[in-house]
Amino acid sequence: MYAISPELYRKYRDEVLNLSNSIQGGRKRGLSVEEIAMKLGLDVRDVKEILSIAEKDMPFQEWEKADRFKEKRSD
Amino acid sequence: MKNHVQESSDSEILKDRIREYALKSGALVFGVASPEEISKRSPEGHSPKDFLPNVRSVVVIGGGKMLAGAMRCRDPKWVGVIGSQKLRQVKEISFKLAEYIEELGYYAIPYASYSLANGIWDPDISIKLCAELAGLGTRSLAGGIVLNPKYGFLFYSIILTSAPLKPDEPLKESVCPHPSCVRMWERNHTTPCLKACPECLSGEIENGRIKWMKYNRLLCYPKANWSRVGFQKALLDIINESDPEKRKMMVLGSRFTSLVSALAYSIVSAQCYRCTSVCPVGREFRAKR
Ligand code: SF4
Ligand code: SF4
Repeated sequence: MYAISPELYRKYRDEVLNLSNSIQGGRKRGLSVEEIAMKLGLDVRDVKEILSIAEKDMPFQEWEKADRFKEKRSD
Repeated sequence: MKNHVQESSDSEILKDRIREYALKSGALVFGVASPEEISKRSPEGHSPKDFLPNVRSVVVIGGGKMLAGAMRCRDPKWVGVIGSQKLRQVKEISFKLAEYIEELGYYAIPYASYSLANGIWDPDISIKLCAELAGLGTRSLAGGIVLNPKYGFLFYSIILTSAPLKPDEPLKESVCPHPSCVRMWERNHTTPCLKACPECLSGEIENGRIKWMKYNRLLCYPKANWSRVGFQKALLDIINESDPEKRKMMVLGSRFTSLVSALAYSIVSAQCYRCTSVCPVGREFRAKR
């Protein structure tokens, strides 16, 4: 199974996330995977991997925090 | 050879037939977007013609209005599951409609988030963009979701087709912010959606319009904790746990059991719907006795 190197992931994680549509704002659209690859001089496959991992790369506690957030809804 | 007037009236009749079928099948709103206009605003490789070479129209349907009861439900888990069921319904309508368009003699292909097969959230075609261009709504402060002026939050689905249909015009007026949100902003510098979810949503209103907005999908996603991502995250934690006793507690515990059940029974909770349940647009459809 193909996996990118952790070094490459760490180096580009933030930049890839910021360019993608993970964080959306205003009328400006996020870049596509191909556009990000072109901009950063990376392989499309690597950008895809970085994005896939980065979107989930937060402590599991975030998921648990979500339970509390949702419970507040019924207050 | 048909003249121009004849062609355009044929196209109107065709559009009416497709609209009528869509609405009869359960869609609440219907519109048509021009593939050229979509292409102008999309990155390379993300235009309708990249998926259907002889595409002439993009049909957009909206539906799956949330049950009023669900929006008042005391247990948010129910809301998430009902929401994903509603999304499924709209996708099913789009498949039926594509069949119908093919019966009329044109190519048709529904787009149902096939991009997920790539393992990332990088849509092949932006459904939000299509819905806006088809005049079905405008983007909102609540995560940029497209709010329909009548129903508020809806699910949308699109069908690429070779049928020549006259495109609709985008709405002239923004649906968001609602006048009551503008008043709330003037008083308290917040709106119902921003107040409901300050973690994921931020923005400002100026002169009754959205000045800027930001939606952090990365933080919104964990709120949908019945998802394949939740499963992946839990699995990683379990694998990394070195104490076998603790690992057992994790694998057999309620959290992992709920994630495994969700996969087993295809239960997806895509959103927590807190931001949309407080939005005043379409509130009249959420008021029951
Ligand atoms: S769906 Fe829930 S977590 Fe996501 S933006 Fe709305 S309120 Fe926040
Ligand atoms: S609550 Fe108000 S500001 Fe927020 S999405 Fe709805 S209309 Fe827009």
